[in-house]
Amino acid sequence: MISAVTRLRTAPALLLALALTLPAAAQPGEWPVYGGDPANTRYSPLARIDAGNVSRLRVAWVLQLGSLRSQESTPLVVGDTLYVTSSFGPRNVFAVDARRGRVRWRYSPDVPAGIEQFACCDVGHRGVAYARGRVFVGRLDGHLVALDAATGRELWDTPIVDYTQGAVITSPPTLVKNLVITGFGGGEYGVRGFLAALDQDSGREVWRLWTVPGPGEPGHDTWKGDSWKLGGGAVWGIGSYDPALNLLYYGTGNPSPWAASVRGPGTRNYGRFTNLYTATTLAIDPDTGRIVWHFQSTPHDAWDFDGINELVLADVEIDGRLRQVLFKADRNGFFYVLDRRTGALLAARPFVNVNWATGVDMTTGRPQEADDKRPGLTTPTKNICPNTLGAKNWQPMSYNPRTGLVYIPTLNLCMDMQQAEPAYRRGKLYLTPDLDLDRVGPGGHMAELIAWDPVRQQKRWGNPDDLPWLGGTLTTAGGLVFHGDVRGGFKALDAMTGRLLWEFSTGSGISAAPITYELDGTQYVAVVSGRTFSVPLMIGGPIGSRMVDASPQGGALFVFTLAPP
Amino acid sequence: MSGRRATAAALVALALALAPPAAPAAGVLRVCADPDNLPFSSAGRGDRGLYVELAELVAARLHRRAEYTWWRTDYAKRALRSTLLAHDCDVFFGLPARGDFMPGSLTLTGAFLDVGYALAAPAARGLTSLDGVGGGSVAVAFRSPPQLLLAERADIRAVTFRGDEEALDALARGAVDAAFVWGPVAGYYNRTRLGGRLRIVPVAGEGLQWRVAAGLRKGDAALRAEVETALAALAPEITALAARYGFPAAAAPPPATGANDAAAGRTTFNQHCARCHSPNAASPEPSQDLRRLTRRYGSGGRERFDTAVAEGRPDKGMPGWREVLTPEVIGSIWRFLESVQVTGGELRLFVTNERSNDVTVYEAASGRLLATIPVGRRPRGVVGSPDGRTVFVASSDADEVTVIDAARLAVVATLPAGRDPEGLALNRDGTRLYAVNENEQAVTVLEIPGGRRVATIPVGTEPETAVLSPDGTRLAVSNETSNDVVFIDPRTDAVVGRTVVARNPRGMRFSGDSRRLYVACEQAHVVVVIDVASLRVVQSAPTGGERPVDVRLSRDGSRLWVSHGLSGDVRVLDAATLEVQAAIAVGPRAWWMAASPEGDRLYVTVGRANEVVVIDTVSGAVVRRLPAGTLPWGVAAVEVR
Repeated sequence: MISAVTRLRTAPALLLALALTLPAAAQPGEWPVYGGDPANTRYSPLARIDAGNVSRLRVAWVLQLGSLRSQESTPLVVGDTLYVTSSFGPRNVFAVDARRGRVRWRYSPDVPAGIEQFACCDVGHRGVAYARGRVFVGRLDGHLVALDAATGRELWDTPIVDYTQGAVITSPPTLVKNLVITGFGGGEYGVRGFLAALDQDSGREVWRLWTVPGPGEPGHDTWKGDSWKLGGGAVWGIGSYDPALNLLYYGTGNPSPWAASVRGPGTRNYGRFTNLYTATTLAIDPDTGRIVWHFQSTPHDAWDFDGINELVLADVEIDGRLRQVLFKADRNGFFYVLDRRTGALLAARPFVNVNWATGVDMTTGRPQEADDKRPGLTTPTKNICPNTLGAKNWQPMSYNPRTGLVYIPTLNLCMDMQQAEPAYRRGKLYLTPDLDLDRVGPGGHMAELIAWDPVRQQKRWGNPDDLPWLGGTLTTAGGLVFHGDVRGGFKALDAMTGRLLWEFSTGSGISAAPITYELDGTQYVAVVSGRTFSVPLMIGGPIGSRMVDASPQGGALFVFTLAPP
Repeated sequence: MSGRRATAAALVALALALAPPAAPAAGVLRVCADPDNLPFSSAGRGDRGLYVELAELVAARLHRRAEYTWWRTDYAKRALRSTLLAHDCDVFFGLPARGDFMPGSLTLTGAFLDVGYALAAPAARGLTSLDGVGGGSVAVAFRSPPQLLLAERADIRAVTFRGDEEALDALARGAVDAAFVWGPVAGYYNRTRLGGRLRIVPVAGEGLQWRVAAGLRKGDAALRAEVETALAALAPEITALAARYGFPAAAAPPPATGANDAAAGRTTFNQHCARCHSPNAASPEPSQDLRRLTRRYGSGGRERFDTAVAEGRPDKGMPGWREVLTPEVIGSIWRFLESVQVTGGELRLFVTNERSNDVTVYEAASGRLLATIPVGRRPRGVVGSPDGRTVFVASSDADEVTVIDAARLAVVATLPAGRDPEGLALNRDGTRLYAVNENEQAVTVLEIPGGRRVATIPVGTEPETAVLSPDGTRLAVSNETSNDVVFIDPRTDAVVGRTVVARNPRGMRFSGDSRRLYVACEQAHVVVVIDVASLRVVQSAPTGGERPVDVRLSRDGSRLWVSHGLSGDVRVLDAATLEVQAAIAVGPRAWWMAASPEGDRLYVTVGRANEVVVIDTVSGAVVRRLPAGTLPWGVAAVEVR
C-alpha cells in the first residue's frame, strides 16, 4: 500500500498543509473525523479510484438508516468499522463492518417525538466524533453522550442545553486532547450561544465560552440594552483544530432575533452595535476556552447570514510567502482568507452573485453595504442576494492541495424580506419576518458547484444546476470531486475541469458530504442519501415544489467500490 | 384608445391577462387579453396595460413566461368562451370578483384590485361629489350605470356620448362641466392627454364600484391557487401599477368580504407559520400543505385548524400558539387560508334513493349532506363522468337518465334511455353512456354530451348492470336470469364474448390489469372469477354471506369486498384465494358500493336502514352512517371539479 504520507511528498509545496491534516493516530485510509482531518479539508490522499477508472464504480453495499427525511451525516471509518447516524436526533447510530455493511451495534436513544418544533431547521444529524475507543454523539435533545466504540454502550450522558427553549445539537463535537467540545443550534429561538468543553473520560464540563458576552466582558457594549440575553450566536456547525498552533476554530451563528433594530439601530450605520461574537470566526485556546482572536464577517446581521460555515485550514503560498491560513466560504457570499495565527484578513471576494454589499473593507474587515439591501421594519426590501439560505449553507466544501482549488456547493437564490420585531416566548421561534425566498438569482440557475482558487480569488470552473441544495463535497488525490444533488444523483467530477465522469442515482436527495476510505487494498466511496425536508418548505412556491418533486424522502448509506475492469 | 369600451359591457371585461396551468409545456403562462383596451391591456407598442404588466409579474413569480392570446372583449362572456373556455389560454385577468359570474365554468382568484366609476372635472373646480355639480352638465356614456343614475336626478343635466373616451373629449374641450365615467379610463386619459389637469373622484353607490379578480377554468384549482398566491404577494406592485396608469383610488371599500382581514392574516401567517408551512401557504409537501384543509376535512376544516393552532400537535412537532396569537389574529390567518384553499377535486357521494325518487349528495370528507335532488321515478344506477363534472342517474320507471351538474348539484338534462334503465357505465373518455335495460334485454348506448341514442346492443335475459375494464377495452354486462356475463368491446359496441357463471350474477369488478373479472352471483352465494382472455370461469367460492350483490377490489388488488343483501354485511376476501378474512356488519339490504380514490374508504348503501355506511378499509370499522332517502340503491364517489 502506498502510504498517504509518501504520496504527499509528490506535492512538495503542499507538504506542510497535508501533514497538518493527518491526526497523529489516524491510519492511512481511515476517515477518522467529520471533515476527514481536523483541518476540515475533506481531501483524501487515496488514489486507486481516479478519472480513468471511476466509471467502474458500483454499489458494494447499502445500509438503511431507519429514518426518512433530511439525512446530513458524514460517516467515520476507524479501523474496519464505519460509524454513521440517521436523522431525528439521531434515531440510530450504527457501527458496521466497513467492508460489507453488517451491523455490529446500534444505539437508538429516545429522542422525544415532536422535537422538530424546537429545531429551527429540521431534524438532520451530521455524525459522530471518535477518539480512543469512544464515540461521542450530540443529540437533538441537547445531550452529549459517550459510547463505547466496541459495543455502543453509553459511558456517560451530559445534558448541555435544555432543548425546550429551542436548542438542539445537530453536529458532531470537536475533539482536542482530552476534551470534547460542542455547541448547539437555536439562533432562531433567542438562545444565547456557547461552546462547552467536557472531559472525554468523565463527561464533566471543563470550560464554557459564551459567544454573546455578558456584562463586564469585552464586546458586551456591542449590544443594545438587554438584547444580549437573547442574542443568538449559536454554534451549530463544525470546529477545526490546528495542533501545531494549539488553536480551535469555530464559526458562530446569526444574532437573534433577525430584526436588527432589537439589537442596535437596525441600519447600516450601526456604529458599535456589531453584536459580537455573532456571525464571527473565533480562534480559541482549547485549554482555557479563551478567545485568542475573532473576525466578524457580518456585523449587525439582518439577513440570517449565519456564519457557522466550516473553516478549512491550509498552508498556501500568497505573494511568495507560505502562509498559515484558513478559508471560509461565508453564508454572506464572500470567500475569506484569514491568517489563522492572528486573524488578519488576507482576502475577501464574492464567490457567488452578491448585491447586499459591494465588497469588504480590507482595513476594517467590514462589508461595504449597499444602500438599499438591509431589510427594515416598514417596507419589504426587494431582491437581496444571497437569500437567508446563504451563498453556501452547512454542506461542507473540500480543498484539494494538488489542484489548489476549493470545491464549494453554492446557492444562487435571492429574496424579498421585511423585518418585524418579535415578542419572545420561550420555545417559540423568535423571528417574524415576512420573507419571499422563491427568487432565482442572475443566470437562472439555482445552485452551482464551483471550483474556487483561494489564492487568486477567482472561480476556476462551475457546474450550474437548475435546482438548489447541492450536497457537500469530497476531493481525492485521484483527481476527483464527489458530490450529490437534490434529485439523488451522486456524481464524480474531474477536479481540474469539473467534467462529469460518473453518476449514480441513489433515489433520494443528497445533502451530506461523501467520504472515502481504504481497507485491504480496496478503496471505498460512501455517501448518505435522504432529501432535505425543511428547505423546500422554507422556500415554498414553485421552487419548493420542484425540489419536492425531484426525489422522495429517504435514508440510506451507499458504499461504492470499483468493479473489475 | 382608452375608454372605447368603458360601458357596462366593459365592466365585465375589466381587462384580461391570464396564466396557464395544465401545460406540462412547463414554463409558460398562457394569458388572454384584449389587444386594444388601454389602460387595461394592449398588444401594441407603448403602454402594455395594467393587466398585461401584472400578467408578466405573476408569470415571473411562477417561474414561467407569459404568452398571450389576443381577443377583443366587447362582449366579455363571448370572449371568455372563445378563449379561456376553449383552452386557448389559462388565465384571464380582470373579471368581476363575484361568485355569480359564470360560476359553472370559471374559478376566480380573490380580488386584487378595486375599480369603479368616478367623477372627473378640472382640478380647479374643486369638485368632490355629484352634489357639487348642481345645475351643471355631466358627460356620461350611453347605457352606462352613470347614465341611468343621472336619469333620476333633476338637478344635473346628463349629456350622453357613445363611450367614456368621447365623454372625456367633451370635458377636455369644455363642452361639459364634468364627466362621470369609468375611473381607470378617466385616470389614464388624464395622465396621458391632459397632463393631470383633471381631478378624479370615485363615486360610491350600488353597481358603481367593483372588485377585480383573475379567472381560470373551473377545475384548474391548482393553478388558481398559484396565481392567487402570486397576486397576494404582488399587492404592493399592483398598487404601484394602478398609480402609474392613473387609476383613482377606489371609493368606499366594497361590502366587507374579509379581504383586508385575509391580507393581514397572510402577513401573520408568513411571520409565524411559513417556516414550516411555506410562504403564502404554498407548501410543496402535502403533509404540511394547509391549502388542502377543506379538501381533507370539508366543513370541519375550521374546527381542526382552531384546535391545532391553539393547542398545537406536540407529537407532530406543531407548537401551540394560544399564548402568542389572539383568537382574532388566528381568525385572520384562517381567513387567509380560506382564500387559498384548493377547491377542485372535492370528493362527493351521490346516492340514488329508489323509493323517495331523489339523489342525496354528501361531502365525503365530513359526511355533510349537501343537497337532495329530486329526479325521475325509481332512481337506481349512478355513475360520474371521468372529468368529475357530471353525474348520470338511471331513473328506471321514467325510462330516462337524469343528468346532474356535479358542482352545482342541479339537474341539467334528462335523456331518454330505453325502457327501464338500471345499471349505468361510461366509456373511458366519457363520450358514451351505457344504460342497461332490464326489461328490454339490451344495452342502450347514448352519445355524451347530447344523449343521442347511437346503438342498442342485445345482451341476455334481465340484464342488471355494466362495468368497464380499466384498460377501456371491455364492458361486462351481467344477466340475472340467463346467468351469464356478456362482454362488449366499447370501441365497436359489438358483443365479443359470453361466459356462463352461477345463478343470478349482479355486481362485477375487473382486476387492475383488466385480465380477471370478479362476479357476485346472488342466488348462488358465490363469487366467480372469469379469465377475460379465455372467457373461462377460473375460480368460484362461497362468500359465506347470503345474497352477494356487489364487489369492489382494493387498489393493490389484494382484497375483495363483497356486499350482501340478506346477511347485511360486507365480507373481506383474499382476492387471490377467495378465502374469507372478515365480515363487517352494516345492516339489512347492503346493496351497491363505491370506494374513495385513495381506497381508504368504502361507501355502502344499506337499503332497509335508509343509510349509507362508511367503512375504513384499513381497520374494517364502520366509521360513519349517513342518513339517506328512502331505500337507497346505488352510490357513486365522484371527485368533483
